[in-house]
Amino acid sequence: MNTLALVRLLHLASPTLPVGAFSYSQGLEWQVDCGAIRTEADAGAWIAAVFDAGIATFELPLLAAQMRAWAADDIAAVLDLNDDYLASREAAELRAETVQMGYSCLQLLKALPECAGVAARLADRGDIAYPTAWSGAAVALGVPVEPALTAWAWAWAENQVMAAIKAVPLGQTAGQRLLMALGEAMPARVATALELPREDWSNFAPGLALASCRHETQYSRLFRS
Amino acid sequence: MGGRPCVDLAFARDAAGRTYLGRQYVSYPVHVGRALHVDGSAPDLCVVYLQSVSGGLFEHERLAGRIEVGQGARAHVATPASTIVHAMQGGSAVQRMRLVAQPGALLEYLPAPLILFPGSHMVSDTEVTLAEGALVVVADSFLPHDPKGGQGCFARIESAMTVRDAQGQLLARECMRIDGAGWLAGGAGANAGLRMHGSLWLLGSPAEGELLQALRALPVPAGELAGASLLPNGAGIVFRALAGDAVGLDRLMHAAWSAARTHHTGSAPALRRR
Repeated sequence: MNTLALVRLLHLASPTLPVGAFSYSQGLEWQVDCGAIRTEADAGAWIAAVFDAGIATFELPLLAAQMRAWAADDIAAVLDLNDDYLASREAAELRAETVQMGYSCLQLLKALPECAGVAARLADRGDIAYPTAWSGAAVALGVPVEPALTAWAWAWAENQVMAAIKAVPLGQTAGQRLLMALGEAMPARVATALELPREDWSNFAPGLALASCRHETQYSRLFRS
Repeated sequence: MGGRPCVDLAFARDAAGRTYLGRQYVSYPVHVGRALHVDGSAPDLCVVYLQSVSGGLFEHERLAGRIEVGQGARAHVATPASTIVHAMQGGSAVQRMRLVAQPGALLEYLPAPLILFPGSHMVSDTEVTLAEGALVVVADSFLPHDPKGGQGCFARIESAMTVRDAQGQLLARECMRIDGAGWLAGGAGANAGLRMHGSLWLLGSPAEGELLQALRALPVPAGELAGASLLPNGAGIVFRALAGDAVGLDRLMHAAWSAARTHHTGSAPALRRR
């Protein structure tokens, strides 16, 4: 990967990307509220389990497939995967999250000349999930698939750890320890995701689904999911 | 899988508004009980029980089923007991079910949970076609069990639920691919340490906000987990439960089904015991 592509990737994976990622905990806040997450170890176990049960086995391979479809200029395949992703969201909050982030990402891409073509291809196509818009941007900016998946996984983990720091709460150093542990497992998960055939994708994480369901009626919330 | 399904049922509504089993084809290893009208709260509802005559599912079995409920008809199809998925030597058992609900139909497809024996590998695929105004209730549950009382676990379970409208548009989907060892090890993202899992898909439900509230108000005993949320694309609601034992899971699933039936018809189910 050339240095400019790396710069673009760091940009796409940055928490400063204005898509609202910081406002979502994906069920983690409910896990704290019900007492299931009280410590650094609890937070690490939850985040790792959610990663293994859904991100690694569904979201990453889907993202790879979308990037390959974008590269082949196969918009029909991109949108088919988009519909699959939206249909697979385990709870209403999780669907609302990806639709909102997808919308925000599209608005950003419209304003960036390097990515305006992606935004144009997705205009008037109904709800666009965040991976759909993000994968298009990654391909438009010359980012290869494997680093893109790694950055996506990292950004997700970083957001989860930040949510844990706020909600549990945890100290900053504890957060860094969690990121070191989560990062250790990522290369192997990404390598598997790159080769996982569609018939083996799995988005089954009942703990996450139930946490998201219960978060929808949680009395007091910092996060939107 | 080619060839005819081993169970192929079609329900229709007669002029008096009573649902009957208009077509049936059944082959080994399935037996279909006589069509009954035994729900006191819905006397028009046709009730059919599917039974295994082979004692469960075995390696290399490839089973397909199709159940269609015609316009305005109402049917309840269930199993009288759980299906055991037996140990295997590296192969799998495959079961594919196609459920079709025509406009205004009601189909309750409520098989008892799959019991996964150590070394079993189950592949299950359910596809629902939901016409305008149709209601479909589908139960999808499993629980691991070692009959020797040990900690042996199933090898793998792969299960897919796909919901489409009458035009084939994808509405909702879930794909499950899990290894037994990982499932028994627990982990909050997977199962919070609770090994009995059930989903109740309430598809096509009208006024779904009311039903969602009713499901969320169901009491959940300490140590168990349950929740409900709207499905994508207006497909309906999914209710999920995790429990530490089969009795707990059954209670949660029955309560959710009863709430759904009451919402849909105005009355709780009043089926005679199987």
